Amino acid sequence: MKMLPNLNPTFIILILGIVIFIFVMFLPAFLELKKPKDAGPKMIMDYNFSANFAMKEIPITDLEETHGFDQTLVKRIIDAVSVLPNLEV
Amino acid sequence: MIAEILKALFILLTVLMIAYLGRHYIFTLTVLKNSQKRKKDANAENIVYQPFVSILIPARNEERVIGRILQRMTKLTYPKDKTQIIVINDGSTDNTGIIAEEYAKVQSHITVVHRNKEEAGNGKAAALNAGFKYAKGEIVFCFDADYYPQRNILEKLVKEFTDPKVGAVQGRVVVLNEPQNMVTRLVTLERIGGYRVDQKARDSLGLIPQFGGTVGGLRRSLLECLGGWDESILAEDTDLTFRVYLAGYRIRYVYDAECYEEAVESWRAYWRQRYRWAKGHMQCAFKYMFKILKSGNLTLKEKIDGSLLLNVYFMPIFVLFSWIIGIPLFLSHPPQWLSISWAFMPIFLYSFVGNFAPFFEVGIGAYLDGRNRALWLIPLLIFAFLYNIPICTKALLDLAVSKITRKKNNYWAKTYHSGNGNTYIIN
Amino acid sequence: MKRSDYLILSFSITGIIFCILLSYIFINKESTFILAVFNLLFITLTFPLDGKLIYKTCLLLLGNIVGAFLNYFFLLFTFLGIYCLGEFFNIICAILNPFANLVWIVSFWSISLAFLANSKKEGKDKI
Repeated sequence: MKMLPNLNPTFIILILGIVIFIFVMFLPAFLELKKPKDAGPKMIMDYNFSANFAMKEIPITDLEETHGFDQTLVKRIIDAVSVLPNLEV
Repeated sequence: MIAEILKALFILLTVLMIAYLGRHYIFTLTVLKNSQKRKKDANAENIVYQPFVSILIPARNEERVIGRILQRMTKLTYPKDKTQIIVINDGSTDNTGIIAEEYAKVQSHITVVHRNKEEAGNGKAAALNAGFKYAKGEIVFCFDADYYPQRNILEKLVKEFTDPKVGAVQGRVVVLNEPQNMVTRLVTLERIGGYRVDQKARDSLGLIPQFGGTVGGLRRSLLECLGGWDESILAEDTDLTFRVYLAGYRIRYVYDAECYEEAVESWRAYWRQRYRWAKGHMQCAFKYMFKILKSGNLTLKEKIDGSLLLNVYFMPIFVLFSWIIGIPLFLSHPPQWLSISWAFMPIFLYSFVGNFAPFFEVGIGAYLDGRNRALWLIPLLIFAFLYNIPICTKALLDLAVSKITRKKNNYWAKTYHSGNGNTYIIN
Repeated sequence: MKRSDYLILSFSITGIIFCILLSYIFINKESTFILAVFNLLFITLTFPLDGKLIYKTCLLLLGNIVGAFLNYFFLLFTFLGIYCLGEFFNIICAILNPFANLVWIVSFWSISLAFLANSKKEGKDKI
């Protein structure tokens, strides 16, 4: 009486292949769990007190509105200055 | 005859699952499209509207975390003279009350309400109602004891109330103890899908963002009209969500108002928490399903989204059911459409996890958050989904039994917080 | 885009169409449907993201190849299983086949997303 089924070697290879395939598909997940490179937590955006204080307390001069400079005039000045050599040592 | 009935059922369930899949797919596309338009958010510090606010913090045996949130509350940038913090010590048997009182002694805007053993332990809704009696603020916020908010979170949430149609607001929840173990990392993925994509899309599309019961606030006048929190419902947040909409108000999701939470750390705790959510959500489904369809205060798309939202915790059960009836149908020389639907079944399986964010919502959410390595964990969500099937099934069965026997069983299984999140806070 | 990029792009698109056709002819309609779903998900959810079109198309081609191969091997597995163990093996395969497809779609898609995110980051670092 046949107790064991007749398992074709090809069939066994295929079973192994599919098992290995599924293992490979889950492998990145297992790797990340074992040796996490980004375990978190996500940094929550928090109130940056110093940056906001600086923005409020240090005024940024508006050349056009505060000093009444015409934008086209400012551009001409910038173009003229840009051809001067850099004197930084 | 039986085969025909099973086929009809299978078609109905497949159509339902495709509807949910389509909904989540639209949400993902919406968030992707909106992420490419860099919208400049209004500077929270420039708002003029700063009403007096009350913050309710219900706490039952939270000695490991209550100090952390109260310490953080003292660091909030919202003016202290416009803030009232009410800690509701819900019959704690540990040092929660003592720790809270220590803070109340040095901070005049912190009050502690102690509930005695007879009235305590009946759930979060009862605790919140007890604290609400002492609230004087125009806006009432709720934070769970294990939470750790941004310092300017109140400004971000409060500014939405300048729109008179807004009845409630909801902020984003971020998991603090994510690195703890596999459970916390999977819960983080669920939260990313739920808050980074799902809630954001629902807000952008003018649908129904859910009030989560924490990191959120409501107008005090509205809450008084609604009669506070319903103590007979386990998901008091879902219940309030629909009552706000039925009253003609809207909920806004404020994506950049972020707050840390401590996620559950074991599969057992996951079961208890999700069982409570599932049962409570199902209670709301039975309570509000027809009301929202008949309501004149909701638009058509809100009614559709509301119906899908209410029934979301039935989906794992439907997927299991369609899988069970699909097997004999598939093996009995099925028509082509059936074998194709059957082949499609696992996509449905992978689409209903935890907060019911499908794998593509989780993936896009993690990508947009810059969490590249967290993407590697997405395949593991299948285990969380499979675990949700018995959770939701048990919740429905227990609800059915209590309806039939008319014995109310609204036991509130409290989530234990270990305080391990303290390790991960970067000051 | 360079000439070589156009070549790679055309080769990839041809390869994708080839995979879908082969799955229809040599495997079964369910596998074609699964490949179509994979392509739809990948194109609509991954192509709008930052990253080189070449990378995305090559990843899509690779995904189609993986999917087609898996479905082919699973079909062989089913036939051999029925031959060795009998008709009841058909039931086991009917249950396992969708899961196997599920595993490769989700895994491949999420790893592709991670790869694209990393290549975007490396591009920014170089700048």
